[in-house]
Amino acid sequence: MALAQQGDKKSYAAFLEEAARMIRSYIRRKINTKEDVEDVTQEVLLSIHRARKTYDPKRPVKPWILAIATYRINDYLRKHYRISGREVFGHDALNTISSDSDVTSTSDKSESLIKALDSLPEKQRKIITMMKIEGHSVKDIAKHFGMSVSAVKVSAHRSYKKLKNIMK
Amino acid sequence: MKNTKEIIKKLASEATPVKPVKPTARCFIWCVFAIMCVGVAWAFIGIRHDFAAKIASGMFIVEISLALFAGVLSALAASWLSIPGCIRQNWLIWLPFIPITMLVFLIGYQVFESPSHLLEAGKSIHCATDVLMVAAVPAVALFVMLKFAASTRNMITSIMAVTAVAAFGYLGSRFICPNDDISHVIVWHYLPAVIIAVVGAVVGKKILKW
Repeated sequence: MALAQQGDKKSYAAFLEEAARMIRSYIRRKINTKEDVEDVTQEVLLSIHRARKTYDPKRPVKPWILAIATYRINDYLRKHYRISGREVFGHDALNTISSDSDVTSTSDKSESLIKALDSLPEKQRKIITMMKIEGHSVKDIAKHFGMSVSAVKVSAHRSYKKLKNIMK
Repeated sequence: MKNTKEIIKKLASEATPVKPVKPTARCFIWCVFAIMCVGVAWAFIGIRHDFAAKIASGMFIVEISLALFAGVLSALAASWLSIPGCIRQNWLIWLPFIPITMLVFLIGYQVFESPSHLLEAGKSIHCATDVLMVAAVPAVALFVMLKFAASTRNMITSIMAVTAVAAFGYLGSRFICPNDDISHVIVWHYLPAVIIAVVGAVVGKKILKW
């Protein structure tokens, strides 16, 4: 890293390679999703690059890297929980559909829900299935359909409304 | 997002020589700048008429020295905290509390010596604005300086930074206002500095995000 601070590109590349390995294994302990681990690793590498002037060559490099990694992991977790918090709204919406309907028995409930799901346009049905039955994250679904995260959320929200209307 | 290897290649290609940040030197530069700002404020607003007499007063010198120490030590802590992974310097966080606690005791002692009601402090909003004016430019300078580092503990860094700024604001305003009545000092000098520190800490946390 000391050589990298002097502008040595080769040493810097070697340092970043080594740092990426260390960061990845550190992040894996805190984040489970493979894709997110890679995303956060890249974020940390970008942050290391941005903060490289704050490294003091007389000090060990590991605490410096891990402090930046922890900062970025916390950023990621904050964002993640914020999004999950919004997704709870989705669950609530689905619960409301069930509780508001006239269906009395569990089997009737699921039957009418399946029927209602079938009546949705294919894309919307797939989004709801992936989100609520298969347990994919909004981010994954957005990637799968090549949509933005907010577009997936809007689509899901519209589906909840439709389902609610159908099941009334 | 791009492949990690591609990112590493790109970052390595952008490696230009950088000068490592020296927190203590940065703190020193900021303190000199803050003292200069206080001097400019004195030149513009005017210094208290009994300046010569006050300089000879032991109690006043102790009070000003404690405020100065609180400012310098807080700035030093903020500078170190803006460097990632500086856990060995964590003890610096506690240093400013020594002069601040002593200052609080000194003010408490003065209240005990000449008890006066805080509501009798009168209206001297200009003293509070003096504190703010003296603190404003050093505050901007300190946050710019800290923003150029990479704080990974934004809240505590921000608290230290605004404590430094508020201490200099307090110090500067005490040389401007000739009113030494303790209720006036508490309400129109000390309290505004505390308010600046509290509000500034919350805002500063957001400013330091990177």
